[in-house]
Amino acid sequence: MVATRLVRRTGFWLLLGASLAFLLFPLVWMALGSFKTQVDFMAYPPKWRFSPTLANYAKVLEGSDFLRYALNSLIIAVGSTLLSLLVGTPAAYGIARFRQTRLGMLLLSARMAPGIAFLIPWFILFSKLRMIDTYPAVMLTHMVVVLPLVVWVLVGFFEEVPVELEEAGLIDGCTRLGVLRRIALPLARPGIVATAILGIISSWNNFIFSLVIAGNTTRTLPVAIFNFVSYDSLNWGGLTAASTIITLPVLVMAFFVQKHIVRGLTFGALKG
Amino acid sequence: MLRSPRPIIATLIALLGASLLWMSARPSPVTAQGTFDWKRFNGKQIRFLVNSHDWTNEIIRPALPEFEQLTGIKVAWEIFPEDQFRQKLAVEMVSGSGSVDGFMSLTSWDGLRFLKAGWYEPIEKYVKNPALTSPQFLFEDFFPNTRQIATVNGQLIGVPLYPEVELLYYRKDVFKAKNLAVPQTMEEWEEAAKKLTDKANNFYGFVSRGKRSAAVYTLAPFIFNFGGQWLDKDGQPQLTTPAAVKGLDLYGRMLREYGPPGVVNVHTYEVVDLMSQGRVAMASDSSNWVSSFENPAKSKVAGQLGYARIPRGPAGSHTPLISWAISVSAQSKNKEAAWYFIQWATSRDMVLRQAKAKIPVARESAWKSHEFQSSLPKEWLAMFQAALPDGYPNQANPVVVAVPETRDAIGAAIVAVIEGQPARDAAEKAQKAVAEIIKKTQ
Amino acid sequence: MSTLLTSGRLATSAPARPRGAAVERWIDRNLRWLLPGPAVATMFLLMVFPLVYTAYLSLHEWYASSVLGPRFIGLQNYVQLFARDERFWPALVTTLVFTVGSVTFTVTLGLGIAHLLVRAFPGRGLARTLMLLPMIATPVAMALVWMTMMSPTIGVLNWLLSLVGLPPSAWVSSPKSVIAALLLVETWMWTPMTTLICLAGLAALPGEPFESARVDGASSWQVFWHVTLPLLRATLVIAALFRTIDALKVFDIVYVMTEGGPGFASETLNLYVFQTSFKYLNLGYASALIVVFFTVIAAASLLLIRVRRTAW
Repeated sequence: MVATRLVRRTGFWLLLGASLAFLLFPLVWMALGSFKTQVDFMAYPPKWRFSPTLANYAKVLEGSDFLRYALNSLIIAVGSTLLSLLVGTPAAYGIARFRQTRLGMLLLSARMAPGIAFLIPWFILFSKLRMIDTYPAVMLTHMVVVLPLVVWVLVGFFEEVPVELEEAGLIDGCTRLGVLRRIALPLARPGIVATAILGIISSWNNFIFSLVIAGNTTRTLPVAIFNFVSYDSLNWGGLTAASTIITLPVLVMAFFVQKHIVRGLTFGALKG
Repeated sequence: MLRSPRPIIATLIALLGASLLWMSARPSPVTAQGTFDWKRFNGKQIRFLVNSHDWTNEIIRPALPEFEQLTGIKVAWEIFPEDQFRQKLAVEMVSGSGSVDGFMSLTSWDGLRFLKAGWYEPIEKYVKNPALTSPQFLFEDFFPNTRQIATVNGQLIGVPLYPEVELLYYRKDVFKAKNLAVPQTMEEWEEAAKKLTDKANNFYGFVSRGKRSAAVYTLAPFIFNFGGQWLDKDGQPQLTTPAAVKGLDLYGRMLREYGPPGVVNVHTYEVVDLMSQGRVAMASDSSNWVSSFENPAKSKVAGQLGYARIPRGPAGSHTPLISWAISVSAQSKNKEAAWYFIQWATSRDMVLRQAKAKIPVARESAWKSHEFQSSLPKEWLAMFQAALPDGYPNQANPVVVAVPETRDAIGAAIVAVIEGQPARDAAEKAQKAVAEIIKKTQ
Repeated sequence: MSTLLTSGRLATSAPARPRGAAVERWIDRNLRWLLPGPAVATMFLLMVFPLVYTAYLSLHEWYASSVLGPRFIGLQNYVQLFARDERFWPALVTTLVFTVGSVTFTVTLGLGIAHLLVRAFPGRGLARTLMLLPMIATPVAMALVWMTMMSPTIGVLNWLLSLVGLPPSAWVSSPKSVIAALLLVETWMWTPMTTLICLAGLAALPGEPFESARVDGASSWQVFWHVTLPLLRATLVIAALFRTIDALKVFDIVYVMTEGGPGFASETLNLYVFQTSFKYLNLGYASALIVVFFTVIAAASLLLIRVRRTAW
């Protein structure tokens, strides 16, 4: 009896360990590698003990406008998320309160369309408006990904605001709009914060839209990392240092919202 | 009242002599005053989209403040690695927004398409205009066949930057250790690659590009040396001629048998890396990587490389002769200011700097300069000069309008042969695809 | 409820003032249209209009770099696509193979890991957060890191293979192994998502079926097969749905790691469309490809949604 339990327990921890090892290995490898010198990195079999260096980070941060690209990523992420929240919060409330599921379905279908389906017309439009390589243009394109995400996650949060509170407000003579402003929004605020973080992560990671619509002024980190690869293809130290810098902010943000991520990614569809 | 004129004359002569001495001692031209007004477009802002290269990164970018000081023109110098650069440039020029004032182009690749799209601003009229071109510019200083490369359908569309042929790079030390002579014919070449491959020690006899599209350039000499051409005089592809099939077969076989693992992902940058890290005995690629190879900071084999012409076939030894050029965009709203930048960037002084950095130059004065001749390996200089007259201008790939698509189709055939498919089959597939592409787009 | 009422936070509005009241009432009456208005307008502008334009452009011939404008050619692009395009069908097959592989691996693995994480144990919170990371990390950056790990000569993955006695793999450098290599990266990146979905599903399962099964003496495997799986069917379909849509659209990792190569071995539909649009500048034809591509995704999604409805 005890033996089988022990076997089960060991089995559990082994499996868990193996799963986490699989999932975390590339991240650990990336972090380790960012401290290796070129010579150490090129060694085979791979070196696990080596004297660490900060040279890769120094090179990435100094020479190549990296901080400027990081700032671009941040501006665009925050901008597109704010815009999406501005427009999406009322919509989410409406879907939650008025049961506008068809509208919700429409937003879900936005996920089905491949990004490239929009890129040609956007590209033509933004070119004609002289908006290529401007922050507003890139932010707008990111909204296509962030807005549906924002709406679906917020629908879930608004559905959790007890209807009775709102009805009490109505009884007291508040308008529906006032109820939204004074009851629903404050109660949903933690949800809004979580949603904002999810939106920022989503925009930060975006590649294809920035590749085509952004230019030198608005280049974001995922696009910038290409420069590393092609010109200096075996500079693995620089590559892993750059990758670490790019992914670190979103990984940290994830810690704060891990509870809410399932909502964002499944668009609450689990509830049916 | 004048007594003897002699003291006065003496003083005048002295003054004249002093002022002559003083004038000749002044620093010379890039900052010249005189009749040419460098500050004519003071305050303008221009934007250039360029390909990542030692020239754009190490020569021009650090010198931009000098240009701004000279002319008062602000330059946004945007550098992208080649594949992204092409996409970026196409995207911007198609938009017609005029946001790009100048760009680089590889005339063998972009020439015909850009000309037909009306993207090049013909610069002959700028070069000939003394109000717009400094007297120090001296376009005649450029080698005639480089000026030819920058001329598409009779129009001068840019200033050539760094002419390239293809060369064979080899490890002198390894050859000596194995007592091998430098291969002169293509058969000898394959033999040498075989003898030099030591898979157990992760050392390979030969590497060249295997990546779809990029590999077309390094396949070219194989086809030419057996007597083949990309297109016939009617502009139809010639990929299934015996010469082309032979060339494709040999190229694919050499990379398959004697090349490093993963060769189908090898672009020119990886060729340079593999050679610089000492992992291969021979490599064939653009002549102009010599500056990287001889840079001890980047290359482990600096000083140990030999340079040779691509081994000859029955039809001799012919490689593509190409050059990137820098041009003014026809959509630019600041064409003259862009021209000012181009003539500064390709002026004698700037090109001399390029020569000092061991990047091949298109200007004869810079080529013959002491700095260039003494800083580059003698063997490289000799081989380059020998290969130059035999080079086929702009023939890095079929000279058509839809070059990227054509290169992808031929590149797919190269990858197929490297992976073991018979060359005949791969060539036929590519021939069909390219004929179709030409039909759709010419 | 009473706290709110007595806390004074909820300001009761005084009886309606004469001016502005009409506006307020109008807003209230039409709130259900006004609320989603801006969002719908945004989506319309950013999405619906471009899609319609793309469909319209698909009926034209237009090379962006030519001086001529778009030329109407009816359905010729589609004829070319289905009858004469030698890259379309392989790209479609590659995309479908990739998608089936991705869904199978991520959902299976996700279900397994969800089982590990569903019951409490010390450190579970940390484990759940760590488990998320591959999905959050920037895909392009991680794809490049995987490239370094997959180097055929000095990559750490081949070293790991050698430790267990397996021969080295060419990973993305060979047409034979490139899809498998890409699937490895894709599985790694998106298993966290399926794990989360399955976790939510598992956590919501009622306890009685499990208890009665155990009382009946069923083994763990039997419980899983006959109790868990049927109950989880809806959840699994959701996971499959989202993964299918995303896998059909895969772009970042393929573009960064192989650009569709070697040759065209890993060219998915999305990548083919991208090359046609922004490398070959053949915008008319690309638009037709996009319409077909979107149809494929919509069809697959609708199929799965229907399966889900019947799963209830």
